[in-house]
Amino acid sequence: MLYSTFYLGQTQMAVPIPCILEIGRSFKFHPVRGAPEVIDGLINLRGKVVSIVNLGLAFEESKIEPSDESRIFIFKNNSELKEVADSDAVMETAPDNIGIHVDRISDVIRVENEELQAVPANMVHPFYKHVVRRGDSFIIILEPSKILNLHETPDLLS
Amino acid sequence: MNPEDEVFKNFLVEMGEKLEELENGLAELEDGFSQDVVNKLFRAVHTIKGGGGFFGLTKVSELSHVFEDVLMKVREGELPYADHMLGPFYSACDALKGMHEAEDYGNNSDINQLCSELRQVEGGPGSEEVPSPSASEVEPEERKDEEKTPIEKAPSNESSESSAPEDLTPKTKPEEAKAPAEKSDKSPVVSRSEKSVNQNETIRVKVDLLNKLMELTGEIVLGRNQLLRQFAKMDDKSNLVAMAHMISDLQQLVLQTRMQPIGGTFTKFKRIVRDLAKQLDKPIDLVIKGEDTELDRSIIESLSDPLTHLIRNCADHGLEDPSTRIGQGKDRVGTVWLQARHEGGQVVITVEDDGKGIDAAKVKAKAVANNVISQTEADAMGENEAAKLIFHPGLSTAEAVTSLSGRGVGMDVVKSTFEKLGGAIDLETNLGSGTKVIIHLPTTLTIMSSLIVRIEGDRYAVPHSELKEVILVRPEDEIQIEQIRDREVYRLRGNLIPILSMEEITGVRREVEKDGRLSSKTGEVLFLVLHSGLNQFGLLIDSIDHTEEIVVKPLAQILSSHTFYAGSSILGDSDVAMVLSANGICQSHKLHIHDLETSVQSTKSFEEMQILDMQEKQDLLVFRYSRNEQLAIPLSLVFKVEQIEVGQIQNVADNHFINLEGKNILLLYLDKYLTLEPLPEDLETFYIITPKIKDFEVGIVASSIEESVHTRLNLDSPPINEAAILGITTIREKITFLVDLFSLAEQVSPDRFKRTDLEGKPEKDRLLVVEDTPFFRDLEKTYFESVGFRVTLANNGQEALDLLMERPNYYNLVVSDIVMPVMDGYELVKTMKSAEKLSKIPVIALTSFTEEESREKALEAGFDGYAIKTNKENILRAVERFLVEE
Repeated sequence: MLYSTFYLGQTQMAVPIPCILEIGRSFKFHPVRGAPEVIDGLINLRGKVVSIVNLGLAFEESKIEPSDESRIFIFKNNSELKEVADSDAVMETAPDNIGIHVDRISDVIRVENEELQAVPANMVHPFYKHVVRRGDSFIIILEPSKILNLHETPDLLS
Repeated sequence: MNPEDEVFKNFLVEMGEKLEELENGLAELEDGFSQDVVNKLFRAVHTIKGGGGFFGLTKVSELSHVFEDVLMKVREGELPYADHMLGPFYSACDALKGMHEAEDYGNNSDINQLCSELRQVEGGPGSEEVPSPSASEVEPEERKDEEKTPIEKAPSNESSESSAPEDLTPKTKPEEAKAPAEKSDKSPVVSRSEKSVNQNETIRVKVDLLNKLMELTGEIVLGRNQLLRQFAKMDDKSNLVAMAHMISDLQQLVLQTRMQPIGGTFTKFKRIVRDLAKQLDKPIDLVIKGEDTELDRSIIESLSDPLTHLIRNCADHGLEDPSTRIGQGKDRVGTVWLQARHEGGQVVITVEDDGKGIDAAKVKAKAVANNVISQTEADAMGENEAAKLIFHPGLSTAEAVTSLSGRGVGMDVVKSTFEKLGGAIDLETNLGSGTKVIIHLPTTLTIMSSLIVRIEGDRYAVPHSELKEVILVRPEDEIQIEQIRDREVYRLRGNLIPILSMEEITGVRREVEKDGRLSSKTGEVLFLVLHSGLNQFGLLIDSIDHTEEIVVKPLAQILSSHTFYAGSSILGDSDVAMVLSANGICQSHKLHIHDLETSVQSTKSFEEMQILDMQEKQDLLVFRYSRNEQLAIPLSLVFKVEQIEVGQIQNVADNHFINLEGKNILLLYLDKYLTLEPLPEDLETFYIITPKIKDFEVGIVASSIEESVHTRLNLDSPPINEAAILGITTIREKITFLVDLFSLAEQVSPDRFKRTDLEGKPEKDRLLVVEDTPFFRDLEKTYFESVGFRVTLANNGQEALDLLMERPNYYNLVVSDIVMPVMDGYELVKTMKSAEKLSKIPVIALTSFTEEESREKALEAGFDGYAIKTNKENILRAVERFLVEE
């Protein structure tokens, strides 16, 4: 399957491309007062209102500030996903369209299923799904349904 | 059996639909036998049986098989239809429904009892000796009487099918002649109706798809508005305008796709009423009207529960026992009317019964006992007003709690359900003759008219349905926001309402640049008064942007715990704004009616309240035409205020027009009609005020809008003789002319608003005007005096009555408002008509209700005439008629 990769600080991460609706930049965030800080705000995506999660804060690291390099990965919602899903890859995102704000975008990679490795025990995180090796480095494959439904992981929302 | 299987899923959906058809069909059957309906029932059950068998739903298939057999006999005319069959039919339908929803699809349920009940239907009493075929030999009446006869031997299906009924029937008599005739009659109808089903082309569309279509159309409309604004100054925009019209049409059509007739929900009540009648042992007739009235699907879905509650109330509390009814000379059978109709862009649903009505005294007593109102308040309440107390939480008048109602919860929930849908509920009752509940609902929820406000840098949308008023408190005002134990409150016409800030609601403090806030600059505080049900509170805002029709989008789940937001919306300039929810704010802040109204009101004596009522203040819109002259018109007569730019004006001959939302509106320059200085010439933008007067579609030009004030109006008569000036008053220490819009209308289009000439001075010229609103009181006085009446004024019914009793022979005519404090118009006229000395004086109702119903009601109450306040000609004509006739 094809994955789109991006950086959070120095870490390269990836999400499966079929989950992605589009990737954009320089959106205007409309803050939601009272919402947890991890929500950057709402954007108007051609008439759709999409909530944006700041990936930096979601990982309890430093906040990602909008810049020329920062990007928004907007995910399909579950019903959009169902319309395109291949039967062999059971994927889930969230009931709504949600975007994640990342530091910078990187390459698209192809990963065969047998390349996927389990997340080492000392770095287990609810958002991590697999790890894959590329050259000298590791790329962390994220579990979109967990990040996009982070309100179900209450301690991350304090 | 794999529930994931697509085909099976489709069958389950279809089965659900068939079950619904079945239930609707049974409800229709209650109105009387119809071959078409039986055919429909048969087909529905047949489909269920087939599918059930195919997918291994054994019990579903078994039960529907038996059901189908019976229906087939009825269909073929072998078994004449009789009312008592409905019971078992309904039970079977219910059982199938239960199985449809059950996890095991009913495969482990016991249906023997049901099957034998169904078979019993076809069996009838004669079946003890002869198997089922004999059923058709028995006349319905006979069978009814012996319905409960136990049947030892349930006839087998086979025997019932194989034996033909007609050939062994010496005593069929009327049935025999009828059945074959019916058969031959109906068979062509069958094929025709089946054909028409096919012709009636519908396709099933996912609701989700419709929602998306709706959303997108909403966006297209917004886009169109942006384009129109962007290209407003272009010369040739015919293409754009043509497209704009098509988009409006498109929006209408898309809105329609979500509309459904309310009939589906209504039909269900036939059955509920039938069950209730049995349970309560009262015969009840349910009359349904307006099933075709269309409403947004999402609204219809929420109507079922509250309407059920209301109908149960009618049956349980409203209608008397048959014996009581007969004793009172009423029909033994109680009637409940359930009606829906369109009225003025809204849907009105009424639930009415001809029962005993609501005993106002009982409600009052209960309300006093529960500390909802004080004794003095209770004494001053009219019948209807008191009856409306049943919407208060915790009031129920049933002396004994029954299983159906009377638990004291409910009516308040019913009320808030309708209010959540943007509707309103009202009630009329007459002791002894019945109660009518009137519900007004919007036809759609998706597009809401909202006020866009700014609070500490962000913009928010507040639906008009939740907004009561906007209040500006200046440092010099008498009433200020006060602090009680670090909570802010405001005294609003005698009620203390809590004042909340966005900081309190969201729990987020925001450091804003201080000059952005109004309060720091001038010491002024601006807030909205929002309401949810009976709860009211103030919300501090910085400024008001504009009014806009918005499409509310639900919050993403990730934010759904923030209930103080109803959702978000994309505004015309493509910004996203959060939509505030008064309901959600009340809930998340635990603002409850008891904290607000009861506890606060009880500290205020009734006398004080009454004095406040008496000095009712007037809302005025203060504006300027030239720089220095201040003008005002009553806010109640203002439809809309819009800011426009000079460039938007188009000139046709000598007239100036402006196009607003597709309507060409004539601009009215006041210096043409009043002695005023001209409009300042260097204005880039100005305002137009559209008045709320029928047939008077003009925009009054104003150079600036000052404010809206809430003030006690002291009118001095104008020193100069100007028709269109009602008087002079002082607002904020400035002399202000109060413009008489009606006279203005008369001057602008004399044909339409011609003053009625009353020839000469009326001889019987002593007029008593009863009106609580100072503005109308003065207005009416001016009108009547202008045509030669001698006018005496009264503030309410009680005052009028006192005046009348003092000099019963003095007044020739009474003109009265209907809605007034202390004593309303209905009570006044009732009292007058029953008092010997006063019964001959004609009384004319003068109200702001425009519905035909109100006219009927007024005439019923004893009024001799009826006129609508906002039409001067009408008012004078109504009065003239009575004086001339005399």
